[in-house]
Amino acid sequence: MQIKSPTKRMLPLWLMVLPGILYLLVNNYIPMIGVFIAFKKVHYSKPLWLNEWAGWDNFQFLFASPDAYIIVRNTLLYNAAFIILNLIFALFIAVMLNELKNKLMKKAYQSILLLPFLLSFGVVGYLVFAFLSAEHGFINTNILQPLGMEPIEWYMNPDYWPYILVVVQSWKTAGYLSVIYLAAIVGINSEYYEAARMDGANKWTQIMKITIPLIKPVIIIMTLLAIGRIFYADFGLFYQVPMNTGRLLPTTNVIDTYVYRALIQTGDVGMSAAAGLFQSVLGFTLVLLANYTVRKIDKENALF
Amino acid sequence: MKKSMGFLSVALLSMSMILGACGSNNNSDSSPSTPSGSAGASSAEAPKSSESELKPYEIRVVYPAGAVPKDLALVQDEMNKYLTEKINATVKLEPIDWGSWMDKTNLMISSGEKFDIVVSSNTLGYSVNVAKGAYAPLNDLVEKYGANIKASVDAGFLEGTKVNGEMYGIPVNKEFASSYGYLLNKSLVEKYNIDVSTIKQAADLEPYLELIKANEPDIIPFFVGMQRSLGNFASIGDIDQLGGSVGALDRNSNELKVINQFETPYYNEMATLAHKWYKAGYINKDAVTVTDFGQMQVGKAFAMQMELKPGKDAEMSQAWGLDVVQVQVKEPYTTTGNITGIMGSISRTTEDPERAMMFLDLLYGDKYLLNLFDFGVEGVHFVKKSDSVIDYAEGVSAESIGYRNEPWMWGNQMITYLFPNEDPNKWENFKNFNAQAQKSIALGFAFDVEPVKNEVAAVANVLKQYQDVIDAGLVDPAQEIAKFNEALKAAGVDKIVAEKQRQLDEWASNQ
Amino acid sequence: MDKSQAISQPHRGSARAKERLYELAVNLAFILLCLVFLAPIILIVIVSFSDERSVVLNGYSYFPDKFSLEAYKFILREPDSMLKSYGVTITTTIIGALTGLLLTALLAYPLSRRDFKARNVVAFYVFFTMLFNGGLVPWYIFYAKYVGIGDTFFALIVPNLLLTGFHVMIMRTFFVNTIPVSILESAEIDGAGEWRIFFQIVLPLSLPVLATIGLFATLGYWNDWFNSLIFINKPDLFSLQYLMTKLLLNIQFLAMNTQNSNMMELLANMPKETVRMAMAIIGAGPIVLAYPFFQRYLIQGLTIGAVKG
Repeated sequence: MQIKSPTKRMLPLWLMVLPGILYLLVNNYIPMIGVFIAFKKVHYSKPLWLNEWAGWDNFQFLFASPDAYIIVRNTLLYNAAFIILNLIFALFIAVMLNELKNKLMKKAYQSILLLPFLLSFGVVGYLVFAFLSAEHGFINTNILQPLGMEPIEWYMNPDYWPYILVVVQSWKTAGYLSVIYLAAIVGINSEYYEAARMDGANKWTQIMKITIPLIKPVIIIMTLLAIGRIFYADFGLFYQVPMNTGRLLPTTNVIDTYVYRALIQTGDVGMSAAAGLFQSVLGFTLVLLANYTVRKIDKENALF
Repeated sequence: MKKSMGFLSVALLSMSMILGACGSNNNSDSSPSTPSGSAGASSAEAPKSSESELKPYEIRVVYPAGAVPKDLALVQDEMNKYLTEKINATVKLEPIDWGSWMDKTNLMISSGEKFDIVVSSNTLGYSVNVAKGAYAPLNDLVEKYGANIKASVDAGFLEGTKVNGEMYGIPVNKEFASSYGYLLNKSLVEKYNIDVSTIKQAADLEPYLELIKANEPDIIPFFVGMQRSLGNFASIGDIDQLGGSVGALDRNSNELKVINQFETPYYNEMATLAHKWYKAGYINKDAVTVTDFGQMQVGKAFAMQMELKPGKDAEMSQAWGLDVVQVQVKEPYTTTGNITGIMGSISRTTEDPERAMMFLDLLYGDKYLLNLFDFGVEGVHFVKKSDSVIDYAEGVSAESIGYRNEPWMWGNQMITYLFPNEDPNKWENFKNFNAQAQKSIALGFAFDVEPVKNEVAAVANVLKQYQDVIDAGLVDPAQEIAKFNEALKAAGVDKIVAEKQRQLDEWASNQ
Repeated sequence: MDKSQAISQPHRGSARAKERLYELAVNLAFILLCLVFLAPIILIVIVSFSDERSVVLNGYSYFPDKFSLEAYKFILREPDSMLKSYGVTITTTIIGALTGLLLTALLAYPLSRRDFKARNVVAFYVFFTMLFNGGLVPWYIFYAKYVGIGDTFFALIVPNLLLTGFHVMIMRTFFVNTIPVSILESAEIDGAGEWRIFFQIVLPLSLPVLATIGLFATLGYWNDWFNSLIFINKPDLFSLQYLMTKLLLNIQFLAMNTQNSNMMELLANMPKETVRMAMAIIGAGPIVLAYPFFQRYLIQGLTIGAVKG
């Protein structure tokens, strides 16, 4: 048995990570240099890096508005809801899929559950409109009216939309996320289940005591990754699904849509860069905190 | 999860300015140029002694379009044959999808890419791009190489594109004003013998709406969609928007006094009327979510508000496949927004601004070139029916034609051919329309948002939240307008109005 | 063992019945769930086959007044561009997904090795890219200006899609938790080099996660329209999704700019609802056929025969 020097032993591993590191360097880190744009007063007569410094000016519009609190609150609350609900829903699907014996049915169900992921939010917006529109929407004409109830003006009332958007988001993402959890579940050694069955454990106990705990690392990682992006919102979901209806802004305006609507008038590259930086820094801080907490509890499963 | 990055980026860089309606003002005595190869016939005389001194140059022309036409290369070749002789230049035509226009042009500008001619508009970020130095200044270039432009576009209107005394875009010579009014479903007008001359103002329409509501249960009396609603009269039609956001000039006043258009009694009046109509069931409930002409287009609506120009009803009838008649209710009005509705600009990154201007200028005087660019190759895409009328070529239809362009985007529209179904006097009518229009006393003023950009950003979100529904009448103005203005104030609207006033006063003192 | 077997014998019949009932219940739950998930999609299909006028008059409906193939005829009027974009997309998807999958695995594996000292640093390096980006402008300038990939195939494969931190982190977690260290150690003792270990032990043991990330990467490429929008001007190189989505994007943009009269008029000529739905189907449809390929590895359990003992 040869005892290689530590560096020589690690060399192949370093070679393995090299292409990936280079790619990320090129695709992500080099462009990151451009973050200085957030602090510049952009004027195209000079190259970007020669423009005047603007200090914190570009960030002001994020706080100047009385809506600043609302948009941050919306972004955070929605994302928190998504994280929790998606986790439960996707886990449920994955666990249940795993319980099925018939392979053909399993594949069929999984394929169907993955279909909504393929649709763009623009199309989803039209679909939601088909269900909720005041003139011809299904809910009004085929459900409420026959029941003798008053038609609801869905697009005029912001209160409904948190629920609508959460449902739409789940519908679109749960199938996708469940693939990850199913892949994890499938890797669990069947011996554990056999032993449990011997001990007389029922299905519920098996799921709670074996399946979930054994895929804990995946659950934690997915949650941490989601927390990192908690200040980013999916533009399509919050802009296109409510069909950019102004009345709904109190419950559908998130940081990304606010910035978009704001910058239509001023089109300032520096301001949009500032908004992006703002979201990044906040999310990063939050995930650092979360990761630190996870490290304290369960060192192995932290992100880094 | 990752998709949001993409959308965020797209979102962050898109810009457009939602400003006054596009109109046009015609005042041209364009000198027709015969499509001969010799330089002498064209009125675009380059002060340079002869073409042999001009080095060959490729002009990159960037413009928005629905799709890249199949025969683009064909038309481009024809144009190049001609242009090489004229100004020893060739063009590279680059149509860009509407949906990606803002992103792509912003990236091209930000990255300093070299291109020459780009279409610009106040709704496509013209003043922002000027402020950021994206366009080349044009005063000198027009002076030296813009003979056709000067001959066809009224000097007063050229002034309209000036920012701080310098032109950055050349307006397309077409209609330069908008007159607000209604489009009515022709068959219904005839069915009920409606005398449209009785409709002189919004309220006059009401008895007819009631008539339709009573007798035609399936028809929407007043179709509201795409921000065309009663409230528009007060928030767009009767005011000079002075570059967008909040802060406008009352059309009927002679004072250069900037007001908050949402605080005026007129706005309240229009919103109240709109709400009355909504409660009476005249207005479609999906007014603020509908994204196309839907019911109006299939004949299930009676009236729709629209900014009009001569022949608008003919145009919309053709576009919709449904006959409509127009009823003008407001006199034509020209604001800076009408003039900067669609223009040709030259990028700062061009390597030969003179050549770019020469090409642009040709579009204002060279009948052969402009029509080639607009409609395609004669014999292949169209055939001439008379000196000024064309029709599709043999075997070619509107759907199958291999080349299309938007004539309203280029040059001097007055020298372009007409189709058989268009009014032969169309251009005469445009000229008269432009001449008769009331010109805003602030015509030529351009608002620089930089000093109040944070407030403009905040106000934009407030406008989005309140304006559409109040304009359309879907909510009770009695409470909503107050809330609206409260929110505007909290977002800093007073600062914007004050800044606009300050800039307006400064501009006026420099006139 | 014997005792429990003896006890379970007489109950075996009812145990079986219980199992069957359970299976039935789960199946029913899924069928219901799938119906709910499918309902909107079925609507899209039906609308795409409806007559445009009836859609405008009555809104979307599961039972339209009239059916029509107009929407599909309209799209297929110019089969050339669609065929080309299918070709483009299929090629970029296959090349991109395979390369990306390999790169991801190569990056993730060492991160899962406890003896790789730099693993936390590199993991942070990877994760950081998920949170921070320099923005669209620097990214574009770098690729278009300095690397010069505008209007090339390269632009459809490399930017953003080839490797994402998300995939790497997931794969790392799977490697850590499903590859027993004992296997690695015994292989090393047997004298196997790292590369052999990677390709002959780690990868075969990781089929579920490879299939998962492979599926995600495939979907990522198939669904992408952003790279086409930003980098491609030549219609020959448009991805399928871009071709199908650009109509929607055009309409949305024009609908936002309705203040401009001429632009508003363009809206009247845009293809309508039924065409938009048909485009959604054409864009999304085919990739569903690729699912079974991945599901083979996703659904079945692993016989980790080599691990036992």
